[in-house]
Amino acid sequence: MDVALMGGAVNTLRSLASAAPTLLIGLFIAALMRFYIGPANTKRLFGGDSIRSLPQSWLLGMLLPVCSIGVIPIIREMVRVRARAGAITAFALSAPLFNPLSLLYGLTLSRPYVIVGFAFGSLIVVTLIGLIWDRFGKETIDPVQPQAPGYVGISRLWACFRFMCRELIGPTGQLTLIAVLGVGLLGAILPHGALQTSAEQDDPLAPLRMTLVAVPVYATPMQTISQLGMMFAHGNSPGAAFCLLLLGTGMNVATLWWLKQTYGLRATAIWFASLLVIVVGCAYAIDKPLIPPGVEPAGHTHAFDVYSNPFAASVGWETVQRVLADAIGLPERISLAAVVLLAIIGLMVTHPAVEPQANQTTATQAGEQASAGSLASDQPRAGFDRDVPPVVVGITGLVGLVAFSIVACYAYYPSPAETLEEIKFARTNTLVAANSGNVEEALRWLEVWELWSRRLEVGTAIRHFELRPYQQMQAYLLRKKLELLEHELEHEELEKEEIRALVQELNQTSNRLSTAFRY
Amino acid sequence: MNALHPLQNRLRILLVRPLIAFQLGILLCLGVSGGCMQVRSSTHELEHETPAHWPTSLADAAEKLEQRINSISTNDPALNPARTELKDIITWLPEVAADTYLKEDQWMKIHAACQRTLATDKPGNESSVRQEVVDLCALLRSLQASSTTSPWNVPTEEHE
Repeated sequence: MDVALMGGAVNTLRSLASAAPTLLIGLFIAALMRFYIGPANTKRLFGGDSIRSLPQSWLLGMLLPVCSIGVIPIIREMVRVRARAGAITAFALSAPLFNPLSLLYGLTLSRPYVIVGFAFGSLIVVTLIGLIWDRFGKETIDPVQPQAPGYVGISRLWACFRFMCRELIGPTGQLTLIAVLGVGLLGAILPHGALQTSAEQDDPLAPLRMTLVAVPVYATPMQTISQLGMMFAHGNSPGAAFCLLLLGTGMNVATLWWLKQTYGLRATAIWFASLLVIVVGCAYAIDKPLIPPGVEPAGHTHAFDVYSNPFAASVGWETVQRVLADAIGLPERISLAAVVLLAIIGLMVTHPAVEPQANQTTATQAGEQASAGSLASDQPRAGFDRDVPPVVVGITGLVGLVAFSIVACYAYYPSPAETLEEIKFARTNTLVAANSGNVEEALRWLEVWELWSRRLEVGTAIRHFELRPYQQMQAYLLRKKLELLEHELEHEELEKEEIRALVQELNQTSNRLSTAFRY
Repeated sequence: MNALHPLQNRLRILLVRPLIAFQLGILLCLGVSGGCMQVRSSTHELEHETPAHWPTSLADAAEKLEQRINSISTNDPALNPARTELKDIITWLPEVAADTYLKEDQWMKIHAACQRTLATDKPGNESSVRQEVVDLCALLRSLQASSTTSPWNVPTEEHE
């Protein structure tokens, strides 16, 4: 099987699967805006025309769990309600950067102030870009006038659902495909492990090289934050990490495509050039000051292995299946299935036989009334069957999403006792597999173990509101030894004595970690 | 004017869309550089190197610190690698100590002493730094025995 072709296809599919959960969230938020919050309130939500619209959009972006693909239906809706151009770009860039889950994860990666500094650095960038965009960002196509029928109850829910399906097989779906194809192309072009030495601390070209790679990249916030972690652990260039965060996570090829379609080529070129200048400028400014002390540069990084071809040589179908199965977890599979289902329904509901054009027009009228609070139903209501103004339902939906994010944080980062049980399981599987020479199994469980060690730190911090230096150091040591074991296991000829010694060390470090985190 | 329209359209197609051209350019650059890059048979074939002055134990750390503090003759790090290495060892010490059988409170003493020594390390503070390093070495030697005694009977066995 052709390596380049297969690598590109695997990377495309992997990206599509990782985008699926936040794409669904983005579609849901856009539907809420259209059918519940309404144009006026949506515009107000993003700060209206005032100067605070930029930081307000940045803050909203930080709270909502979307990626640079999930943000597409939302920014399309923002254009539709004529939100301030700067606010649109501020939200589009900042929403994919961090979400509560990834921000918490990020705090375990380096000194916390570095991650907080990155977050505020992004505020500066989006504010500057927003101010520039306010000047140049004039839509070349007239946004569709806010329309949505005065649905109530079930009919409004159906309208939301139909809107999500239509978007998926319409512009949002097309832009999603453009975005994931960018990653696919990278996978086809870049050989296996080609980017391992491209972001070294003492390499003055590292931020520039990262800029080149990051533009076609699509990455979810969690993916980027783990890449930043690997870069910090390997003592790579902080400036390159900043470029990856802003350009790799904040935008993708589809963002540029959408901007060009909406605002025209000249404005998009100005926006993109300004973004590059500001991001690369900031990257070089922070490159030296943010070098983590005490971290010995490893001379390489694995952070970008995911963007190069996953295969070194010709592969069989079984290997492809294994790589995909390892990369696509259960939540992504469920979300991907939901996306496919919505797309199929979308194809059906837009079919002229099912919904004639005339009906569509009727169905997209009177939205102003609905969103302004007037309701379509004249029937008297009694008891708990009350008409609730759409804006109340819409805001409740958004607050619910934020509340859901907080609950998700506690669910994703369980209590230390639970996490230690998971670690025990992963440790046994890793070490038994390593000792018996079962490399594939050992590598698979090793990643699980590493992930649980990070979740242990965050789970402890959000429950006990402290993370002692000793706990942090033990978790760091464990991950360092796990990586050494990973290197040993990747040797063509396994050195059994070396592996056995590392297994013993890992056992002891794991014991210390358990003791440190036992409450 | 109308006659020029097809030509204008043609020019637009050929000359504009620099955005797409830019994107393709990036991919081309990456392609060329990717083609020149070494294809690795494994993602972990590049190894982590351990620096020569990395301490193997607390006693070794104390010895290495003493050697370097005694050999420092100038404050210029470029002229005197011992000073840079001294700082390296103090920065690494919490990690080295965490990889021993020391208890958390014992480890905290080393961690605090290292922080204090690094904070003292400023131009003009040479005598204070020297004193901090001497104290740190004494602390390391006093904890050496605890650092090698396993709290568990068999070190490699699971402690639960």
